[in-house]
Amino acid sequence: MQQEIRKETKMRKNGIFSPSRILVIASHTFTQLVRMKVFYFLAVFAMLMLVASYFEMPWSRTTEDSAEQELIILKSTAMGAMAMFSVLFAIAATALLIPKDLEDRTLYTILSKPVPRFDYLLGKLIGVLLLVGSSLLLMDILLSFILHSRTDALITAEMERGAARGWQQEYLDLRKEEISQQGLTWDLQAGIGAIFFKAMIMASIALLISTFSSSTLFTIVIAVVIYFIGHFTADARNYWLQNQGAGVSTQVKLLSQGASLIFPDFQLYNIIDAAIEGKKIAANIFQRLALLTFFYTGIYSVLAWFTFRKKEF
Amino acid sequence: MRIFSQIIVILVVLLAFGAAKLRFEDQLGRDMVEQKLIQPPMKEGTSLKLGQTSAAVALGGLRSLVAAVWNFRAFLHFDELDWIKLEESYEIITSLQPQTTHYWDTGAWHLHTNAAVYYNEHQDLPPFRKKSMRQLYHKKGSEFLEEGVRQNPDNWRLHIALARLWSDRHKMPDYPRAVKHYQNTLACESLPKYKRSQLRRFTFYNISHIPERREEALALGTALFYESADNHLPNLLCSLFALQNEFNTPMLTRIPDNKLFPDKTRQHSWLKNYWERRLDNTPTAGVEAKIKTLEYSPAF
Repeated sequence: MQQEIRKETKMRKNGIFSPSRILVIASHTFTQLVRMKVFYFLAVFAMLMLVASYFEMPWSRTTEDSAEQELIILKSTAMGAMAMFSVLFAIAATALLIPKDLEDRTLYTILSKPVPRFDYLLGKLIGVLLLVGSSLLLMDILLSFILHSRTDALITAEMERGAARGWQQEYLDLRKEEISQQGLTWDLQAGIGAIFFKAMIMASIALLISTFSSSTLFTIVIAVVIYFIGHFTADARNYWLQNQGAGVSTQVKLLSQGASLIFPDFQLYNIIDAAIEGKKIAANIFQRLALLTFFYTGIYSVLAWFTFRKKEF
Repeated sequence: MRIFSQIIVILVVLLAFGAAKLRFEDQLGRDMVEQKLIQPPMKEGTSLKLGQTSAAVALGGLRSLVAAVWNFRAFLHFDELDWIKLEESYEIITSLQPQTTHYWDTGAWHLHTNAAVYYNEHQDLPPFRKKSMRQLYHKKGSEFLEEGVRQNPDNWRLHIALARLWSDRHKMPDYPRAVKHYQNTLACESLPKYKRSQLRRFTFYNISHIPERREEALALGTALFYESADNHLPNLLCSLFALQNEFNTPMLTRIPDNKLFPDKTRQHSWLKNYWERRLDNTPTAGVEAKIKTLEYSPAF
């Protein structure tokens, strides 16, 4: 008898945050999304990579850095596809989740159990992020493999060219270093990390919108609009912080202030371009970006819970 | 009603959160710009030129991808010999990716070489039109590179592209201008060490083509000669030989022929090549005479 009472008390004391429960919901969401055959996209990506890897610069001119340019084109094609897939998928999948659970009646089954709504939302979000993350990882592996072999081939060709022209060893070493910097580097991985961060924020924004929106389409459209606004936030912030009182009307000032405060600044995540160009990305910059991402994701998730906590179905 | 109150709460929270992160984001943005990790904003009007789809993708943070696609498009314009569209394309491309050397370099090359040659060899154009169009596209190519240099002041590859353009004997050489660009290249912090002596040699060749700066050329050439045996290249040695003759360098300070050239046979062949490839303003003092002396010398 006492054991039963203890068991009941344990159930009632069900905390708002249970990692194991969140993990169960996340893995269910992951499976649910995998069944939607999203991984077929990877076949398209693989094809794109193969085509891009066999691509040679179309012009006949031989510039000093044509090897690097071939690698840049390969990276920009791959990372462009990765960025587009991850953001679109993060928005669409998150926007679909709650309506689909409602349609399948899974939501009633889950919420009738002692599952806090915050855990449900967080589980769903983590499920989407798991899928986006694993897809990005697979694409990253494929890109890394192709990029590595292409870089090796280009270095060999350049060294042969250099030897035939009698280049000094110092120059050969420098060319090797220059081409390698456009190959597989940690900076490139930081760029892919930034793609994931962007997707993370977009998924949490879509989650927030879907908690009060009545249609999936509305959620997707609003999230896409916010995504584009996010790329102007930096301009709005500069306008506000740098042009204070410089003949700016009150309405414009308020608008730029509001935009820079409410929307995330996605320009900061454009280190993706820097990674494509083979620039060095300092660890400190990446860490600060990660911190900002967790901050954004956290605040949007808490707000999503705020609107979802007393929602009636 | 409940949804409106919720939206108001959300906005208030976002505003408060926004105020907290504002300085952090601003500082992060500044640091990224300083480290050249994020691109400056696109030039006004670029979005309009891009078209809706490309503009949307570019604004969505994929400027490098749009630039790569436009680069292919520019190649098609090159294939069709549509120089106006090609120029527009490279303006867009460089606005999207102002820090990518290759786009500035290739865009300029299409203009100052391909377009200029196309007009110069156009059968239907009268001679004066051919000349003016050639000059126009040569100028356009140079201006395109100069814009690249303005946006990337420490990019040695762009400075050297300008220097090569103005020193090219097959185009419209302007040696004082070429020297200025070579000196700008040498002033770049990003210039690798191994390039330095080669660029100083190029500076020497170009200065030696300016009659009023030949004394400066002689001093630089002599310094390069003593600096390293790697600089003992036929063109440099022959120029130095001619410059020493031009200024009647006294025997005490003059580099003797037996030090300048490895042997008489090579002295003859190098000087002969130098003489045959000379331009109007190449220093040639004593070269022809020396070739003849060598040819008639019994030891030769």
